Amino acid sequence: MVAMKTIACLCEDVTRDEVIEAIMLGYRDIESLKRFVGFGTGPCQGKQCIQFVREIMAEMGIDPGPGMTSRPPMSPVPLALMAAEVEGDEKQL
Amino acid sequence: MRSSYDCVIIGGGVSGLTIGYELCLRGMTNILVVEKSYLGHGATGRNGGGVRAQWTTKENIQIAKESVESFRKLSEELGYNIWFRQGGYLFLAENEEQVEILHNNVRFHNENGVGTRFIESDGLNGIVPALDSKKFLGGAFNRTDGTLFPFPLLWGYRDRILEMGGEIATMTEVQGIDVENRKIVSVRTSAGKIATEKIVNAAGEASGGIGDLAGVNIPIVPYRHEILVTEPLKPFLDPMVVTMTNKLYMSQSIRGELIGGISDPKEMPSDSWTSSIRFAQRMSREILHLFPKLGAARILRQWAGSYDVSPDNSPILGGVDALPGFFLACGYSGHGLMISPKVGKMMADLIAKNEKNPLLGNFELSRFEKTEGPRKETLVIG
Amino acid sequence: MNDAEIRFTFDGRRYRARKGDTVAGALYRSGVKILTRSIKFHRPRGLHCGSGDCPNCLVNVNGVPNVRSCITPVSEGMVVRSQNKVISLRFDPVVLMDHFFKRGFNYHHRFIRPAFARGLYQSVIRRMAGIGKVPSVDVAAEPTRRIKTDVLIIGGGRAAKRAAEKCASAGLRCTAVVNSFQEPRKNLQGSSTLDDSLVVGAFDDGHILVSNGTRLHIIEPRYVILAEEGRDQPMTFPNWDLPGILRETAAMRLIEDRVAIGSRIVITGEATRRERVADLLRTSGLKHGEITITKPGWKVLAAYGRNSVHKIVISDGGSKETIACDCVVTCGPLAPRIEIARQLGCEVVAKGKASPTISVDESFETSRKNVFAIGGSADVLDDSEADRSAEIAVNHIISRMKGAGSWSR
Repeated sequence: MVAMKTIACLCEDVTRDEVIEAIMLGYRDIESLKRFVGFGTGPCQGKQCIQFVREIMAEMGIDPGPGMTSRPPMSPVPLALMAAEVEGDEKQL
Repeated sequence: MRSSYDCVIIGGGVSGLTIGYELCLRGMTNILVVEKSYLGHGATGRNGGGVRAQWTTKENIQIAKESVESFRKLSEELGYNIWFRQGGYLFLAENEEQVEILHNNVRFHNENGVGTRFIESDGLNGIVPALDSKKFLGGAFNRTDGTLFPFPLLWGYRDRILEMGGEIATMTEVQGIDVENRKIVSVRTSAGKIATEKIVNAAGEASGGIGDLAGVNIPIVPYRHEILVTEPLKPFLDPMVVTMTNKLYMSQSIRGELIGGISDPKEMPSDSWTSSIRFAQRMSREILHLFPKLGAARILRQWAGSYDVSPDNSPILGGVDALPGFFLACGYSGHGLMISPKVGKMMADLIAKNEKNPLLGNFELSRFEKTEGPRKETLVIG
Repeated sequence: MNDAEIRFTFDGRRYRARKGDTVAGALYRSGVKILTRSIKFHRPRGLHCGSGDCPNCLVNVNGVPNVRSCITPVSEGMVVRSQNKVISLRFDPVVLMDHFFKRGFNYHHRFIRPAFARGLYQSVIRRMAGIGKVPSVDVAAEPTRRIKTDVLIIGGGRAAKRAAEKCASAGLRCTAVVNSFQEPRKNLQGSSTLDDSLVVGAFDDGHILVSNGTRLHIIEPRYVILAEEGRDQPMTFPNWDLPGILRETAAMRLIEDRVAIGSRIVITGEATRRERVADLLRTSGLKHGEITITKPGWKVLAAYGRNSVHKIVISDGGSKETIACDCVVTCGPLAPRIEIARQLGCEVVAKGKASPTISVDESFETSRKNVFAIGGSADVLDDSEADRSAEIAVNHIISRMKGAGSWSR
């Protein structure tokens, strides 16, 4: 049987307990919490976990704000694709 | 937050927190670190974690060298694992001119106690097996350079400062500095006024603005620098690689992600932190130039931060003649993290004990007024 | 019915798929529910979100690591390998860590001492980290193209469709692209739809980068309309990450692809959507065994299972009930997608723990000029309201373009 755990972040295997403990250690804004605990730093970049973490923060009396900054890419892009030349552009330096 | 402190440090990045920590170690614990956002919101939290001693001025080498030694002990000292991995830095030359620069660097480094070696083209794969080495004429390799993970450094400093009695206020913005008769009287913040006689300006790309509040002109220009990270891959790259042509830097973190950036001659001064398609394209092309087989590796995230650039690419440290009590720890031009331990110690000695390390003279604000101008640091990457 | 059969392998074993199957769907049909192990605790993981938004189905396909098998079509001869397991997917001893560290595990204070062993710690951890080997294949990449357009519509639902129709009838140059695999990628009439493309992100100057897997498009729009459907959220009870626990989107996709989702199925979450899934199942003609829909007020307390779910415990706050099951479909609340809006610098607000929303004025314009949010992006869930939001936004764009004196036909 798997151990009884409520996973908060699937990508990094962060549990709900870890989020709560970090909040109690004083990481009370979502950006610091993210970096300390690690949620949102994996392949899905926070799409799964952000709302759950916000709810945990709100339950602990913290205003979670609108969430972490969102950065591109929305889903991972191969280097070869990003490196492709742009049709019609002069060769970029 | 109290209403007065012996010293207020403006900026909650590695510069401000290291100085705060070193001040507490010297018994000056009635201090406050003020940060307008979360700790590490600026350059400290946005860089690739590179730490090197390969520089082109004696002073820069000296403070970098001693900092590398400090990083080796900091995990134990702070009780947080900063994951300092000394995999080396390899600078790569693609033409004869660059080869000559590297040879000069190697010579200069060894004269100054850093054991950089020149590696011939056929030796490069011995250090980086996946490199397309036939494109490169050689490289400069220092095996004690390395990478670390910046955030635990901040958490460690934070915990130890709080433990020793110092205070840290995040989400608190500095709005004014009151000076009377060439003496600092107070700092006005979004959380109230604080009486103090000593201020450390460690505000990164906002240091110029903080200087203005105190009536001190600090010639820092912020430039956006972008950085990306790929998905984690099994380890295949030990050192940080840097290309002399485009100043690409890239390393593989302990988690397996490739992380790095590249210089852009077209980047204008800016405080923007948005992302550009141009950077992603140029960086991807350069990565594949070095590692042609990485085409299927995928970019996971792209972000940006600021290099707070000084006129000679070297930090602005120490006191300000025109305003005693106002100390500067800024202008790091993209390499503040890697010299933070030594800078922290020098600044704390100055602030707490009025002892000025001879090295500090090279970094003072007053150097920009000298007619001959300071020697420029040229080995700036990213 | 004579579906063309496609043969592929997973961890060396041969499997068959039907044309149109996803890798995860085909494996699910063959009874393979575990696709990978989680990064720290090596907990069993399998198909979960069905829309490429989570890491639970990542596999290595033909040498390329971290491929989202829930949205990747199977092709003949495909070699699929699982990642991040020690010994095998079904028997991975590292899962003992799961029990040893009951509350979680972080690396912050560990592996510091003794100092002389640090190099060794780092070597070992480096080798265990990293999800996939350096990919051994070349990626086919076509040249990137630029598209200048009047209106870019991002999204594939009802509001997007209405906006595209309106733009077309007004003669505006309109490009449409969806942003997620949760939305239908069918052609929006009147626009040039970038088929099978997804938004990569919003960059400097409001340029939007889009990818179809082999070609990037850089779109330079004058106006952007965000019209995405909400993202269905997971329901986070203990062990919700077990294989066999599917989000609504994943379940619907499996059913559409003619994959039986289970023999004892529980459907829970939002009422109308629960019923819709149940109806779809019942009318699908697929074998499904018993379907249990949780009654209003009953929530899942926990799920249990070794390599996939085999029972759940539900409660109404007082009594408890155990339900033996091999599939749980969760219909969690829909949250507006705000990522592109944030990348564009639009103001996003949140009240307490409610999902954040994009701020819009009465013309459905966001805080960034020329960027609009309608339908699900504006948290407008009612169909006729969604249509209305599309009409208002496009009308505004039309009058702004008229005012600017620029008109393109």
